[in-house]
Amino acid sequence: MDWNVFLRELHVLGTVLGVGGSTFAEIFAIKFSKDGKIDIFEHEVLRICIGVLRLGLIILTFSGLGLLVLWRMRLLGPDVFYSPRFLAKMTILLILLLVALLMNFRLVNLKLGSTISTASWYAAMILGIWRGLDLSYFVIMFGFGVFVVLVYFLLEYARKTYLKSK
Amino acid sequence: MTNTLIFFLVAHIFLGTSGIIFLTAYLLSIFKKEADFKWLKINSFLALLSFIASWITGGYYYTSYYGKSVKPVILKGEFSWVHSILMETKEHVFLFLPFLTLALFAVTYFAYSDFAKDKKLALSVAGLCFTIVSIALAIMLSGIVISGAVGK
Amino acid sequence: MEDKKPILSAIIVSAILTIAAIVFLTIFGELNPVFKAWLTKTFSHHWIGKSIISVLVFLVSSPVFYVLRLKKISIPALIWLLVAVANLSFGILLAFFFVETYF
Repeated sequence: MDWNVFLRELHVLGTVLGVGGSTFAEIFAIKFSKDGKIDIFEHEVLRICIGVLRLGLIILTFSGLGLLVLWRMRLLGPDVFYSPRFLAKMTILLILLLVALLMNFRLVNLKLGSTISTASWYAAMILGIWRGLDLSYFVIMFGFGVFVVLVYFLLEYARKTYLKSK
Repeated sequence: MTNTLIFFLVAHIFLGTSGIIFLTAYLLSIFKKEADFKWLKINSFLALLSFIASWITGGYYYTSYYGKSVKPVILKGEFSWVHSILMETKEHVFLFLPFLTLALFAVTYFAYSDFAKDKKLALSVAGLCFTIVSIALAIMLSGIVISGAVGK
Repeated sequence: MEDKKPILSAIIVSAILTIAAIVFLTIFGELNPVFKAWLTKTFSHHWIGKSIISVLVFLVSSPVFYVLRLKKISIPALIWLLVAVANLSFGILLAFFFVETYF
């Protein structure tokens, strides 16, 4: 197995853990909010989901940087490094990191923060997979903004539907 | 690029990123009610070692290869500002990191027992840690942009 | 923490001084080619020279400030001062190289 394949496999693993951790954190947060409080066990479950998510982020960071070194050695240059898709993915990653920090210090509404965080994970994954995406940076970021709003309403719908059920 | 230079470049990136991760872990745990001060000391110390090692490995790559082989390529291309602004800033601002991290480690080592009761101290230390993480992250992103300016 | 205040103050103030020295060495080196050439000649590379000088500034100033027993400013205030100097210095260097490139 060469370095390119190895690093890509690691990058996929990081994505799986991050997107998965984020998804289950949302699912469990909705489920646990039914009785209006989070007990010790529920708190532990959410902590584990966040731990998995953070592990995914660390694996993604190192494997991603490894891939960038390979790109650099192949002299892929501005066409790849400054491509709108890559720049948008990096911007979304920075948004994800900032929101995670704000949520940790309770400087942002947790519902809004977790929406942006979940949407960011999925958006970064989609951008990573969508090789032939040929749109400008601003169009992609506008699309991301719309996606965040959609995810917010989807999660709100899921919350209200679940809370109304027996 | 020789294998030695690749090794030093990869080591520089890996160690710098590790420093950022150790300090992020520090920042996320400093205000926790059950803050484990042992881990605050360990994280700040490991971050210090990481940045010093990144300084040495990056310095080797920079002084033996970048100046004569990479800089001229960037300056000839359409993104010459990437060297003259970003790289010039990065190579000098990087020098701040070991001293900032040493200050953070020293405060943690000598005064960690006061963090829980002295909120002003804990807040100032968090501010310092956040500054170091932000500067280090800006340096890392600059490094990515600089690598991107080197084409065929 | 009171018994550790002299050593902490010394380290923090030395870090502030070292960052200021790095900014001075950088800007002075860019504006004065003779100084930059001296750094290159003495240390084989100007950046190695700045690295070594910054370490020396820190190592020399720390014991000096420790002996001076700085007590008047609290540790949190000194840390915030270090934060301000670090951020300002980053901005100064970025602005300097921007102006040097385009003006």
